[in-house]
Amino acid sequence: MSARLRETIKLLFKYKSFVIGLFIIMLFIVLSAYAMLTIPYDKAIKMWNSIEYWKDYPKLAYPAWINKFSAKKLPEGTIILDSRKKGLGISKTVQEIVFGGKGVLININMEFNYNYDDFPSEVAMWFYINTTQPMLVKVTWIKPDGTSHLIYKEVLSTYQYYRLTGDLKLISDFTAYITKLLGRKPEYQMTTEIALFAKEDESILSKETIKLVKGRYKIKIEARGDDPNANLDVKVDIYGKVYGLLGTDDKRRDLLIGIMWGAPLALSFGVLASVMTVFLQMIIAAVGAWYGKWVDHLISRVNEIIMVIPFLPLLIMISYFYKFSIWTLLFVVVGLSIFGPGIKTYRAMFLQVREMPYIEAAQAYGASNFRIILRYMVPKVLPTIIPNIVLSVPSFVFLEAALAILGVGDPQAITWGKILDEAYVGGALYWGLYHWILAPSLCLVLISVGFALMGFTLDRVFNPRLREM
Amino acid sequence: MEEILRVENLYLYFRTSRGDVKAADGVSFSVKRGESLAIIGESGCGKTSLARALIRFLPRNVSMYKGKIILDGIDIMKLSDKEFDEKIRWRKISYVSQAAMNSLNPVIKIVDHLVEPLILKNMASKKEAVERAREILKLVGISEDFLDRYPFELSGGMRQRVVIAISLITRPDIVILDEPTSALDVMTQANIMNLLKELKRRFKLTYIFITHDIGTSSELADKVAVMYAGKIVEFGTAEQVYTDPLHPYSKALLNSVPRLHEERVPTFVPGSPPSLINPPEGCRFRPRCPNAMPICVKDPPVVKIGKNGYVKCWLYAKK
Repeated sequence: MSARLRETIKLLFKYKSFVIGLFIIMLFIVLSAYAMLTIPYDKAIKMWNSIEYWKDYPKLAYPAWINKFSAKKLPEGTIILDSRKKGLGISKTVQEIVFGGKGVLININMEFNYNYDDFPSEVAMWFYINTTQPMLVKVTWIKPDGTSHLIYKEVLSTYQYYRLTGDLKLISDFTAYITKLLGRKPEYQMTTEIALFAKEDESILSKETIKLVKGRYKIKIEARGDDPNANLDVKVDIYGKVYGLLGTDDKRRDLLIGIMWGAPLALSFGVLASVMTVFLQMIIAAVGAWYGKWVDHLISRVNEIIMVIPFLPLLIMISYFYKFSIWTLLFVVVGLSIFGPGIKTYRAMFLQVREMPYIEAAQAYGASNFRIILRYMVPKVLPTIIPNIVLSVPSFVFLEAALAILGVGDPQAITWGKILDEAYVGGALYWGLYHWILAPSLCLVLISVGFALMGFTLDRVFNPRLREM
Repeated sequence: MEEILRVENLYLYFRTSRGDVKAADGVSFSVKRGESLAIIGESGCGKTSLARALIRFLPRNVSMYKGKIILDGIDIMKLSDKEFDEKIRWRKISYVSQAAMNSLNPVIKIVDHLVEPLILKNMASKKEAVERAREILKLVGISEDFLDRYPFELSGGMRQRVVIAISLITRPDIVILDEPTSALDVMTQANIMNLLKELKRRFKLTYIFITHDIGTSSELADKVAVMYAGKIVEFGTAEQVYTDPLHPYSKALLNSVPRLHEERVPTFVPGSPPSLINPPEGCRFRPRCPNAMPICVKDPPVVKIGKNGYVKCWLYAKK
């Protein structure tokens, strides 16, 4: 056996298509193994579906490598300034003060370099306060050219999240300030990022001429409170426009993680569904062909009835009644795909095999029906069926993706189909976020090409009618 | 020598849409231990059905299966299918089917074929069975290197030997061989016949072999049964049947065989065997018989010849 197996493998490797297919599949297997080793499945799911985990990632970022192809350098990743983590350019002083009572004065200074050619995508702040006593918090933004703006002044008594981007008051205040400074109103709708990062001269009046101030920015935060034990910490996130290998989606999630975890799910879903379907089809067809009479009639009629029932609407209907995880979906899909043209094809094969003299010989020594089916009939057709198994893997991977887009499927699982669905819902193509669509699509296409190349070669080697000698 | 198998009035009918096919219609014969019985006749006269009736290897559309098959004094027709499977099949009687060369599963190794009956009958552990397979393969003249080969790697003659080895691995008393040499060339036929003779001598086997090749059968047979249209028309020792056939059909059959040292043109039997669904009344050979008489419309009597032999023909009826 081993010698024959080795010969078959040698023969397979003579086909370039097999080598390429195998290489692609191996790539996905390595990716899957890496994904599973670095982030366990339950952790990955929790992480993927958590908003908290991704809050420091830029939203809808392009892949970082696009910077290499353009002269304009887009801000990469997120500049995180956190007063709890003492780093370069961050300092914090806490002073007890007395002003008609006891109190505290907290000064936080943050500095960062900004040398990109484009504005950041978003700016947000978090204020962490450990007291319920009111605290006056002032934030001053100082540009490298020295102009400074008081961007925040609020009495806080609890944790506060402040998203500077989209703050209409800030924008209108800044527009008014510019109008007063330059005597003219800007010709366009300003944004927070422009307010915070643009040079405040004539150039700011037109969208085409805006200049970004590069250099060292400073953020000064001053807080006063009545509670001497009060403490304030601030985190500032300046989100970039590009991130990582594959960018991020609208929930700030790193698409690389999604694509990575999509690989093992796609592989296991496709392979399991295809192996289970084909084997069950084969066994059912063999039983029908072997026992004949009413068993065969029953199987054939049931098969024909189920073939007439449309697959997708039925599946969607089932999904409305039961919410399933990806593994339940697998069983439902297998259950619905068993009956179909496959059983008819295999039945025809088995009807031929049934009449082979060696089946008769096995009966003569008294082999049981079960033994004849499993040991004499199934192995005979197995070589012609193996390519079918490999070839039907991509159809199941695609089916899963299609179902995810239709909203049938595991809402929690990280699959390529799910990412595509989110890209579609998030208007990825409308916004020109091609990476969001292309990454999962390419993976789907590649995995299909890999299995198809392997399957066709296996068919050539195993199917006696196609064998070239 | 003791009698090992006696068949009395065995009937085997198959149901078809056009009526019952009377494949074996009241067949009787007996074989002694160590003897070989050749069943000869034209194609389509029920030889294979008779063999299958003996080992109870029947298609699904059997409408009648009755009679007595007495093996070692026990009527095995009375056994249930399960008992038959456990006690008789392959343990006492084994069977080499027609087209035996093709009766090897192309995806299973030779060794697995050989051990299959032993394992199915729980006669040996896997390890012992493989040991037995090795021995038996050597016995039929194939090197044990072939144990791990697949059937397609063997020549036709070797495959035939393997199939014979499968039938012998459980050490049965009786081996039924259905045309054991039909698809082989003359040299291989001779080889296989010699092998069968050798095995018979060593293990005191009893053969029941079915053939339409009268030449090869004469080498091995001790007794001959001539079958025509589901009935045995003549049964006797090989010597008697081959040298002095009595029934007109036996005569015609033997005259159709070319002889080496005789200046004689082989003759043929005109016409073809009757349909087994609706055979002619009385003697079934009547329409083709050169000696047909008016009385032949009635069932011919069984005329005893010698100790165990008989012929079914009105020609020999005592007036």
